[in-house]
Amino acid sequence: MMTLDELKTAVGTEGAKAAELYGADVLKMTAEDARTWIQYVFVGDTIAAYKLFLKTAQPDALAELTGLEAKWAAANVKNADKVAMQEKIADAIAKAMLALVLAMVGL
Amino acid sequence: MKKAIVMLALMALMLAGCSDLQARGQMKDTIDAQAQTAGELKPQAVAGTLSLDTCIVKIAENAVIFNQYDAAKTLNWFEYAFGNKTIWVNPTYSELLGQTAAAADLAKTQATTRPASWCNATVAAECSLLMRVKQAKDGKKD
Repeated sequence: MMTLDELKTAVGTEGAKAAELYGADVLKMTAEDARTWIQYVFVGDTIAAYKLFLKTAQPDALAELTGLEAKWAAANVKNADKVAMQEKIADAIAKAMLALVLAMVGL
Repeated sequence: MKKAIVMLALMALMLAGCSDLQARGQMKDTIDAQAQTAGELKPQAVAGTLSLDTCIVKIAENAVIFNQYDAAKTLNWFEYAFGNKTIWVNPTYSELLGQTAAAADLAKTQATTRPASWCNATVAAECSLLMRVKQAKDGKKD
């Protein structure tokens, strides 16, 4: 198993900053994840690669926030559906009332 | 009696027609402004190009904002309309606001010991949530 210092030496000065920031977490990646990550980068799916990296790097608070986003999205869909339905009801009521109001003013 | 029933029906209709997360006064403007800033910042956070220092500051600021939202919420319509609460929510959003504030606090405590990649992703996730709050207020989907 490669150490962080060995990794830093391997990437040289050009990759020193990246090794400092991400090296420790990269070394935690499983071989399988590393292979998948490389495939993602090769096909240009950098977001998928980034998410895969984060799965290894820091799963806790970030995972919680990401899970919450899914809950918010689901709640917002229900909320929007409810508002849209209400707008239809209000339209229908307004149309029905329009006839009454027009009749009242003698039109 | 008939009048009372009509009034109740109208009131129910008014409430049913509103979004399940509503805000009034300054809070409404705050939610809009925060969502706009989040919309501008998120692409950089997704790309991972924010500096670690910027992320740490932003994560701390977001924790304050989410706690403000949580503290301002009420399930009681009259407390919202006539009291000092500025966000009215249904039980689902009440729970979501509470969980989001707690998660933002947790992120704040972790940010200083995490790599830039994690902090960028956290800012991106929080930006999404700030935008979700506005969408909920406006009764909109994505």
